[in-house]
Amino acid sequence: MTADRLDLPQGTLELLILKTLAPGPRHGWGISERIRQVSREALEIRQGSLYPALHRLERRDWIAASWGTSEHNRRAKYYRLTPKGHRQLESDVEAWRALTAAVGHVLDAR
Amino acid sequence: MLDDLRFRLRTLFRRDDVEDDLDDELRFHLERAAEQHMARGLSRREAYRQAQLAFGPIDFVKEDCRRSWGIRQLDALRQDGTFALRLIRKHPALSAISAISLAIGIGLNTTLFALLDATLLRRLPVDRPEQLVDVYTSEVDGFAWYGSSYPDYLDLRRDMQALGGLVGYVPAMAAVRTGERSRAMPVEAVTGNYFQALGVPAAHGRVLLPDDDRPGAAPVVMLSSAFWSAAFDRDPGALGRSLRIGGRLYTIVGVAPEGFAGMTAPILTPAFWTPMAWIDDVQPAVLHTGSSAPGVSVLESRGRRWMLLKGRGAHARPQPTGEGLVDNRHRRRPGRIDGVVEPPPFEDRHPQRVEVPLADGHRLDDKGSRVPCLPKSCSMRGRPCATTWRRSCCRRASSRPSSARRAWSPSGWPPVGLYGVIAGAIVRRTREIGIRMALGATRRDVLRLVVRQCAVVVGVGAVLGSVSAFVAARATAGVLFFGIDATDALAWGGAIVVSIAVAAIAHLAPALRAVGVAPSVALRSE
Repeated sequence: MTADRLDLPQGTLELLILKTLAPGPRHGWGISERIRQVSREALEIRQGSLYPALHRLERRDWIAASWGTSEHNRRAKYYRLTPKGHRQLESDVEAWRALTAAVGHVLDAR
Repeated sequence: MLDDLRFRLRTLFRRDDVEDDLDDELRFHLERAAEQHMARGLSRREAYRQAQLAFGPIDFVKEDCRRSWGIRQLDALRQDGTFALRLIRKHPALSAISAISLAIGIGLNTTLFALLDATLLRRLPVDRPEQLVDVYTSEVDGFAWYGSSYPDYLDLRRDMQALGGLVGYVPAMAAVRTGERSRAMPVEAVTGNYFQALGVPAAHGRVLLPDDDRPGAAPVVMLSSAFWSAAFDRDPGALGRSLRIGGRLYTIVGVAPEGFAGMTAPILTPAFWTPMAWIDDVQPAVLHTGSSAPGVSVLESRGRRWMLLKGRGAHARPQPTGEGLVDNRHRRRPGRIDGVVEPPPFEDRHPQRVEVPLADGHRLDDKGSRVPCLPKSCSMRGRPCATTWRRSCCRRASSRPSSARRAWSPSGWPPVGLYGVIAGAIVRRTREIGIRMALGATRRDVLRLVVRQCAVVVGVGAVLGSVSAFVAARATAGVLFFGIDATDALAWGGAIVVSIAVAAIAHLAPALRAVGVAPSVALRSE
């Protein structure tokens, strides 16, 4: 992890995965690349922790997996949000915004 | 919750596919990462090295993924189960002996307990059964547990104040005509106060009454619930109809409540009850002493002791004096009438035997005619029940089902053999346990393995035992012992629990010893 990249707070990885999958299905590599790009390379998921997190979400039925063909015509495992995952994403985003706003208020207080 | 379970089960049962998928998924990721590095100008080999460095140790990642599937425990269980089955295959004779021992133990104990429960432990379905006492007549030959004669009964009932609600009954067989056929059926001939004194109401119609037991009264009969179901299909219209017993027509006046099967169940479960006045229509099925003189009816003969008596002895206490009636028509020597009295539970744990000795001068003449024989004075004295038989007699009259008594079953002894078989087998595995521990297994790992093997053996034994218990109980219930519940859950559960406990101790005790042995010593053991 380079000095200019941020460590993810505990539990944030799952939120990022759900958010990344909201537009449509992606495979694991695609999710990791997307997060890196969207965060302007400030966030880089530790790749070793991505897959256990994906499988955990699948076990909770927040995402579902299926095998498909990648853009390079290779067999890849794609993940997509389930309706349960959509609901979870909404509530997690709301909770995250409330948390960051509250923390912001505290930090901005004089 | 359901999704989680589904996911775990799918992962568990499609384990190879899931592992292949994980390999493919991670390989895809590494290839894409390597391609990215190659696009930046790295050699293929360097690109893969960089990709793997960024990814981390792949086996660790796989292990993390497996942990996230939530099947580690189930997986360990499956592995141990497979190992246990392999061991069972390796030692089929030993495994079979263990399982069969368990099966026999469970089957035998369930049957024995069901029998014990039905004969000794089950609470009599009457009002305040703990007050009931059996009343016996002793003879000068020393045997204290004879039945009584009808005149004895009448006198005792009238004069023996210590006992309330004295009832007489006798199991008997009767020829009953149902439809075109005549068949022998069990019956209980009872004194007219039987149902009232025992506090057993009629489920339909009325109970037998003292008036039904008087000479000249119309013959009436009260049906058991089971017989009412079998012969009359639970038709309420059966009341008032006639039943031909021993060639005489009896009017059906009532049906006993379900679950009430008389005083001699489960040895003989009566189909119906008839008043004692009509004793000549049935054949008493008890051993009796003495004989009637010619021309003297069974009910008049004091010498024939064929009735069984029960009274309420709750308030009976050894008293300095009492009243009783005695009879020694055969020996011209004093005899006595005994009652076995157990005071209400929790007040006095020592059952008392109340004796009413014959007063001097009571005798019958040789011709068998009845001689009034009221005693001048009688003494009653208490004496604890001294033998097992007497104790059980007391318990039969007063028992209540309790977990403690139900748990008292002879279940302990057949599994003693089981313990020897299993424990011996585990001791022989000391060396194997030593190797496991030398290779890094913890005490917990070894004990878990032994426990799971135990579970396989117990599982097989429990299934076989349950089947054998059910078959045995059904067989005995159908042949001899009416009223035995073939599916007595408590008896079955008790036998299973005891057997499991013994099997568990047999597995664990030697295993605990084995894991305590230093591997270097265990490895040298044969």
